[in-house]
Amino acid sequence: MIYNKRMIYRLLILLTFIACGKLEYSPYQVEVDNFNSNKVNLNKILNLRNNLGKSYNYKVAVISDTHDYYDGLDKQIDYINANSLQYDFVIVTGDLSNVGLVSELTLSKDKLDRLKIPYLTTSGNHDLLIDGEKIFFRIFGNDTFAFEHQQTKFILFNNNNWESSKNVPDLNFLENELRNNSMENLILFSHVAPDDPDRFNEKQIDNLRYLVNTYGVSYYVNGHNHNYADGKFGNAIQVTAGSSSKLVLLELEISSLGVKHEFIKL
Amino acid sequence: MNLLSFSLLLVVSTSVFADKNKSYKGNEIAIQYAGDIGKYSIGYGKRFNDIYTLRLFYGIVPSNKLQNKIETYSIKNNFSIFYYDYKKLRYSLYLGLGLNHVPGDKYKTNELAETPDDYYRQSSLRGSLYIGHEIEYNKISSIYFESSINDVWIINSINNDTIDYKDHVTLGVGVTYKFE
Repeated sequence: MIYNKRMIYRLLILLTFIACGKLEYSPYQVEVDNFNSNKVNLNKILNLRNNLGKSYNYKVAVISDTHDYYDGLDKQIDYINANSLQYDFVIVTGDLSNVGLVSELTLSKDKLDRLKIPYLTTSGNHDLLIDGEKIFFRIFGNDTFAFEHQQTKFILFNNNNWESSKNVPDLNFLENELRNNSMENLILFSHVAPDDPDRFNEKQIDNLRYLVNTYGVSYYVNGHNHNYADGKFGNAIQVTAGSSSKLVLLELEISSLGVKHEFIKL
Repeated sequence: MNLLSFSLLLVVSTSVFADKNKSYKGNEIAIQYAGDIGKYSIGYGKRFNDIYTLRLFYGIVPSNKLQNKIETYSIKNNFSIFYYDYKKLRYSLYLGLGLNHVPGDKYKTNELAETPDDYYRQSSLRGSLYIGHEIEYNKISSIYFESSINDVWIINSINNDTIDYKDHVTLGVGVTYKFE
């Protein structure tokens, strides 16, 4: 009898110990707080000390396609934090998840929140799958916006034309932002490459190239392709950031001499 | 993966694990709360022997301001690895393999109208592993609770040293009523 009671007690302890976890209803459930990290972080960037003189020199780190490469993302974050004085902020060009689940996007945000400097994100095609668009907007906020920092205009925009519920890329927004520019440098950020032949027809590519050339865009930075690379799009230098799995960090150095980039091997 | 594949998996599960000499007619109903197969799920199952129990569930996650109601269909294969009888009670510790299907076009990410076929992998079917405890009274009714983890986080925790599977475990609780 004593043995039986002991047995039951032990089983109950084991039962209590093992039965951990959250009460969740479905991996696809959309229940997430409205963090809007882009708004919060953009305010931090706009409050950074702006060098209003003619001389400026700073760096921006770019991360992309973190997907489920969490170890790689952690290495990128560790590197940026170890060198945080070098960078003003970080831009993430999308694909922070595989299928736009709350659990995926929340974990990516939690990891990015470890950054000592502000970060801004635009969406990737994977982030917009299923209910990902709503989730992305609640966690990260608007994925299409522009801001100015130290003689440079940064324009981030959604060009995931197959997955977005909106008609993207929004060339009216883009042209308006390009036209109303008084900064020395113009840098565009989107997830998909501007000349992706699978997603865009020749006319669409030509229209974007026309804007890039007409308004003197210096750099076009994108993700989507997981291999990091550089080349030209119209008169702009086009850089593919590469995924976090490649253990490389794209760094943009912006100064009164112009913009240049470097891939830092981690 | 579509409903046809789901049905095939159901047939395979029962064929492989069940006692083929017995009928497939169910002998229990179940109600489950949470556990990644719906907020509320109702199931129909059969205990084939002391080791293997099969349960089929239909679950819903009610709509909220961000999304419409989600319906889910699940197969749960429970394998008892230990049981202990005490008077009218039976405690059972079991491991489980679950499959959960969510109908709806947006979950068929491999068949989206806007993208080429198989541009994305399918997302409508999720697998899960779980460990559970069931306490049965008088061979009539039981209560169980179980901790499960789905395939997304099983794979991510295997592929990433920085991901702890325990952070992605979900809990489900349920009751069953058995009949013959």
